[in-house]
Amino acid sequence: MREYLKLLTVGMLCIILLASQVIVSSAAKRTLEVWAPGGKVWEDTYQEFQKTHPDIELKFVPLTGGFDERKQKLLSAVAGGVPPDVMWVDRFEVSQWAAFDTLTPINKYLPKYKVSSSQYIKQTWDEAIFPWDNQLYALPWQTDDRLIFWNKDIFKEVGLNPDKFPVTWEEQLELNKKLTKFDDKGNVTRIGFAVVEGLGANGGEWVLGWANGGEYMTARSTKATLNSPKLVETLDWLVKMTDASGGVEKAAAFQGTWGSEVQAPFFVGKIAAMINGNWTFESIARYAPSLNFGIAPIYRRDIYKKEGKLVPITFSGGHAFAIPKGAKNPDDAFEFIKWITGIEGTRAYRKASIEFSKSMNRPWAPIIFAYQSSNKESLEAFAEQPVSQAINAGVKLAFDLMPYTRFRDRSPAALLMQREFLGHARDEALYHKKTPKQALDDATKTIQAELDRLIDEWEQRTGKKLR
Amino acid sequence: MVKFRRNKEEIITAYLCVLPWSLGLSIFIIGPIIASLTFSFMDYSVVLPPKFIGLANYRKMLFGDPLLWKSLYNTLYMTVIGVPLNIVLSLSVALLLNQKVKGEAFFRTIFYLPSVVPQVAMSLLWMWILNPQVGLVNYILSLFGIKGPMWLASEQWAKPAFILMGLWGIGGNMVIFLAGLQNVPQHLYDAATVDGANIWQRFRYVTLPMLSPTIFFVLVMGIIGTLQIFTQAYIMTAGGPMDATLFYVYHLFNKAFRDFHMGYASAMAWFLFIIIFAATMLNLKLAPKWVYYETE
Repeated sequence: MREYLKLLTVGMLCIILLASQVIVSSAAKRTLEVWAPGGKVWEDTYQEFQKTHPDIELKFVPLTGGFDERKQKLLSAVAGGVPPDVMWVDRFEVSQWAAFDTLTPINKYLPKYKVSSSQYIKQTWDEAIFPWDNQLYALPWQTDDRLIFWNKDIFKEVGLNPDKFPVTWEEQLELNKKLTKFDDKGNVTRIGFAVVEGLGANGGEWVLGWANGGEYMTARSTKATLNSPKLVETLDWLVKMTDASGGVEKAAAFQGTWGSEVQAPFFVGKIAAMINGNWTFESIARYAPSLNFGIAPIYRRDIYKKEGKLVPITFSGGHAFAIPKGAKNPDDAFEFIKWITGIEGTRAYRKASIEFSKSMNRPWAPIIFAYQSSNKESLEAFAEQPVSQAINAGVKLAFDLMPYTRFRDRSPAALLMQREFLGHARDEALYHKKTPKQALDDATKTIQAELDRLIDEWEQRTGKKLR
Repeated sequence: MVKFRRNKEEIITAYLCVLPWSLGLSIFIIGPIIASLTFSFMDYSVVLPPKFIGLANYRKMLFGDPLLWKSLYNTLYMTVIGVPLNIVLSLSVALLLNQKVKGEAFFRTIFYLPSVVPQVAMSLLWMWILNPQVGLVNYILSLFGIKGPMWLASEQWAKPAFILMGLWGIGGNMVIFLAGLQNVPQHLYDAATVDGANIWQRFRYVTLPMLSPTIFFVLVMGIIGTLQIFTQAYIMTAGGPMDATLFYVYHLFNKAFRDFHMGYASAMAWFLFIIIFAATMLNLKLAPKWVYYETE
C-alpha cells in the first residue's frame, strides 16, 4: 500500500512538472485576453486577427448579460487586479470608467502605432476623451444616428402629403394629433409621432434638446445645465406631444401591446412616425421589406427660427475598445484595438457580417464604423446588393448626417443624467407631477450634487483643479 | 491511550467534515457582512481605495436622500398590505384544499404550480396579464362593466398590481399551511363537535390557535422577503412610473452598481438590516400574545 502511494505521488509530481513545462513553453507566445461580444460575426473577425498576428495568442471571453452585468464584471475584475487586456465598452461610459481610474490612457501609443484622430469620425473620437484630464481612453469602433421615419400609407390615409415631413414643432404637434388614433373606449391604437424614449422613439429627448439649442452640461462637464431654458422648452414640448397621443398612462398601456421583429409597432402601423436609430433600416429590409416609408433628418430648430435655414442635427452613441488599468499586456492590447477599430478589423467584420447575412438568407445593411475610410467601402459593398431604393437612400442619409452628429456629455455622472432625463425628471413632467421647469431644476440639483462629489474626489486624488 | 487517540481522530475528522461549510460561511457570508459594515463608514467606489468618512453615509441617508424615504415607503406599502393579504388568501386556499374531495392532489398541484415559475418568467407573463388594453385582468373586469385601471402605467396602481401578482404565487405558503393543518389533531375537532361547536367556532377556536405557530412563521418570513423585493420592479417597471415601484433594494442596487457608491449602498443595506431586525424582534415580542405552542 505504502509503495503504491509513493509511486502515485512520484507519478503525480512528474505530471505536474511536465504540465508546467508545457505552460511555460506556451507562455513564450504572448497571450491577450479580450472581453468582447461573441457570436459568429465577431468570432470570424477575431480569427482574422489571430491569423494576421500569429505571435499573439488571443484569449477571447464573450461578454454576456446586459449593460449592468457587464459593468459589474469589469469593475470586479479591475478591483481584483485581474482585468482583461482589452474590454469592449459603451462609449458614453468611458468617462465614468476614466474618472474611477479603471482604464489606461492611450495617448502615448498613438504616434508609435501611427494612429491619429483624423482617421476616425471626429465625434466618436472625442467621445472617448475624458474631459477632466483630456486624455484618450478608448478607440471608437462603431456609431449610429437618429432620424425621422414615417409611414407614407398612413399619411395618405389621413390626407397628409406623404413626401413631406413638417419642420416646426407647432406643425409636428398638429401632425401628431392628426395621426394619433383612439378606439371607441378611448384606448390609443396608433401613436402619431413618437418622440419619447420607451414610447416608440429612441434618442428623441437628447436630439430634440440639441435641436433646440440646449446644452446638458458645460463643455468640461463640471456643471449640469439640464434646467437651461432651451431644455425646459424641449421637455415642455415633449409633454405636449405625449398628451396629444393620449397622455403617458395610455401611451404606456398601448406600448405594452407592441411586439417585435415582424410585429414591431412601426411595421404594423401602430406608430405613424418616430425618431429612431439608423439600425431600423436593416430591420425594415428584414421584417417589412414592402413598408412604404419616408425619412428625414431632424433639423436645428433654433437656426431655422432665426435664419430659416435647414441645418440637420442627430445623436450618436456606439461602442469602443479600451485597455483596463492593470492589463498585463498593454502593448499587444493596443495593437488589437488599433486593428479591430481600424481598416483591417472593420473590413474583416464587414466581410463576416455580409457572409453571415447571406448564410441566413437575410438582407444586409452596413453599420457606421468610426473609422472613416472603412465607411466608403461599406457603402460600395452596399451598392452591390441594394435592398430597395428607400432603404438605400436611408442608409446613405444616415452616413451623410455624421458630420452633424452630437454625443451625450462625457461625464462620470452620465448614467445619473440619463436616469434623470430619460426617466425620473422626464416622467415627473409627463405625469404632470411637476412642471418641466420644476422637474429639471430638481434634477439639476441632484446631478450637480453628484458631480461635485465626484469632482472633489477626483481633484483630491489627482491634485489637479477643475473649478 | 488508544481510546484517546481514536477520539482525537474523530475530532479531526469532524472538523474536516465541517471545514468546507465553515470556510464557505466565513468567506462568502461572514466576510462580506463585516466588509459591508466597514464600507458603510467609507467612501468606496470598488476600484479606488476606500476612504474613511465616519457617519457621513448614514447622515446623507437620513437627511439628504428623499428617494430613499420614497423607496422605503413603497417597500413598507408592499409589506403592510401585501403580506396580510397573502396570508389570508393562502390560508383560505389551504383550508379548501384540506377537504377530502375528489382530485385534491390535482387541485393542490394546480395552486402550487405558479410558485415553481421563476420570478423573471412570472414578471414577463404578468406584464401581459396586466396590460390595460389587451390584458386578461382588465378584460375580466370589463365583463362586469368595470373599467380596469392602468396598472403598471399608473402611479397609484403599480404597487397594487405587484401585490396582485404576488397573490398568484401563494402556493409556497399554501403548502406550509396544509402541513400545519395536517398537524391539528382530529380529536380536538371531535371534542369541539361534541360540545356543539359549529364550523366557524371550530375554525376560530381550534384551527386558528393550533395553526398560529405556522401563521407566525409565514408572517415573519413574508415580512423579511417583502422588505427585500426587487426582481419584479427591475424587470417590469424599472422603478417607475414616477418611482412608484422604486423599492428599497432597487434604490440600493442603483447606488451600488450604477453609481458606484458602494459605501453608501452598504450603509443602506445595514439600515435595512436594522429595520428587518426590529420588525422581527417586534414580531417575536408580540408572539406570546397570540401564538400558541402545544408544548407550553
